Amino acid sequence: MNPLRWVRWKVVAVLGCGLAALYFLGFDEIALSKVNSAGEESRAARWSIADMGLGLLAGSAEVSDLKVATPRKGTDDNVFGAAGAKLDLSMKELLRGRYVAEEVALQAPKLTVTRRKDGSINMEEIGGPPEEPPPPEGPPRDWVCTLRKWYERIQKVREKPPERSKEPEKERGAVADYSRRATYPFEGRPSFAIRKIAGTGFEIAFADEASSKPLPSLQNGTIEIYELTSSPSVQGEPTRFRIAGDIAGSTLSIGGTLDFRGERSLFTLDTATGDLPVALVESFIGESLPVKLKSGAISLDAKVLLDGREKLDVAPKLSLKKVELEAREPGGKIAGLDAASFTQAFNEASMELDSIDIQDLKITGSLFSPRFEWGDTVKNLVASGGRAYAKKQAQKGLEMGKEALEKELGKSSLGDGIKEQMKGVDMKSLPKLPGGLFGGGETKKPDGAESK
Amino acid sequence: MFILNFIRSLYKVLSSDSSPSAVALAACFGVIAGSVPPWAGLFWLMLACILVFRVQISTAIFTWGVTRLISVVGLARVYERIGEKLLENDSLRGFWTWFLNLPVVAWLDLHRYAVLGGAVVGLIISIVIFIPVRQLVVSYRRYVHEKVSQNRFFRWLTSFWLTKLLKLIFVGAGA
Repeated sequence: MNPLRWVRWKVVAVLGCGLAALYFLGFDEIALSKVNSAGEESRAARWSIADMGLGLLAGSAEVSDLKVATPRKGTDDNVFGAAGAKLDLSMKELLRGRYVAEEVALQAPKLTVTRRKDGSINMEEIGGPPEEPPPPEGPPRDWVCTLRKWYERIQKVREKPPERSKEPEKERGAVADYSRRATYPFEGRPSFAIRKIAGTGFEIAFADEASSKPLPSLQNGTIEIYELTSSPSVQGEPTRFRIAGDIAGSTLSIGGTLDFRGERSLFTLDTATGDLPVALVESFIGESLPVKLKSGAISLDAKVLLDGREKLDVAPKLSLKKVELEAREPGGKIAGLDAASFTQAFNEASMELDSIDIQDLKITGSLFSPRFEWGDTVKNLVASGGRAYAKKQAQKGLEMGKEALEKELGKSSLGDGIKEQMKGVDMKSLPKLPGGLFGGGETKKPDGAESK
Repeated sequence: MFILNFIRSLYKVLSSDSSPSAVALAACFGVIAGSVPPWAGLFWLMLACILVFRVQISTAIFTWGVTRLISVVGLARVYERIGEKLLENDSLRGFWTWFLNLPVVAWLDLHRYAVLGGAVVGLIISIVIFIPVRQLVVSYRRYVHEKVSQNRFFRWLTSFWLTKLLKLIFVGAGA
């Protein structure tokens, strides 16, 4: 008995031709229509694409002019866009009923971050219901509030009891309910997953609707995201991301990890920036700061650790260049000190020094109740007064410079002569030089200078 | 009319050139396809099997129709209970987690209680009926069809106009 004769080859040929015709002539249009209609109906976000090319046999797909907007209908509130995207799909996983992209290559991705007049950030609406009521009138909000909202949203999803079939049976007579199903076989795997998203020519456009001043945007950036899935609690590896680029002539690099696997709620962030104009900082995290930033530039090197609801650990290294502050609450307290005195002392020191470096600030507590631990830097600054402190710091810087110089010169033959000359110099009479305000008493070294 | 059609199709199947195994297998595919709703992935798999493999299509359609009717009338509720018992059985959880994530199987909608119950009941019925149906076809062709048609009394009986009329009504003109 020849098994080849068990098959109706003519039927196979006809079915094959029919499927091939559908695949080559109409499949892309059908898929495009399905994707766009799903984007219109989605409660989490609206999305659209202009064109789509599916290569299911090769396991690839291409889309062009991708746009993602907030779920608010009737608005043109685009949050993310890309000129095109190439997807490398896993056909093996597709057979298992999972939609997995091994890599998504984005062309000219652009993120638009807008702070609205009410203080809300446009991005916080992504993932939420479309007709969510507007935020109640209250104090203006910022990125920290957005982060809290996202955090609570993720917690709600995680704490949602798994869908089970234990609901009370309704009287249906002989009719079966085909919607009743077991979900546990698929709970250990995410239905949607992207192993890697990479994009070059990345741009982030910042806008503050409450301010007339334009904000600088991030240009020539790169973006990389690894392990993005629909079920963060069961994915194999934590989600990692890295964004880098130029902003207002400075470099910006942000990397981080989001780990919601199992019972974990770990968020780490590693940020290093060049000099950012304070307007940008003020627009997005200003409301969470105890002081208002009026002018100047800030560079930041920070490591953030957020572990669950209870643990927050931020150790920012701030370099404030000619920053002018204003007390947010004139009668309030900053670092346990009177806000007005603090800002006055700080502003005086800031004008005297090229930069004020704060390396001993720690933010602990929790996301919902952060605790600022001001180090000696700020305390000494306020205690001695801005001008006096600046002078002291400059003097300290000079003394340390002198010591270092002596040490170096001691190694060379020229050293003895110069040392003799240095003995007669009154350090206080020297002109003011750029100095630091390191908490540990160190002096900021000029850019590019090594230990010498 | 339905009964007439049923008798006609049964006669045609029994008298056709299809092999007994093709008829029995068609009945099995039809029963499984009829035990699950038409939107389920398993139904489309069964339909593809019926079209692609050399089974008796009319038998498959006939058994599908009968099983579908029985399911709609009330058996689907039983399928749902059976499926729920199987899927929610703690000792079988590991098996279902592995099985329902297999390639292709993941698309058959077997994680739905009524679909899994229907598939299991359909499979059991198929296994049970395969050999009897095959034997029925073999027996009919060997004994009834050949011997009765050569019998002198039978040939004398079919020469009457009343018998011819009854044959026309129940078996059809082509037979």
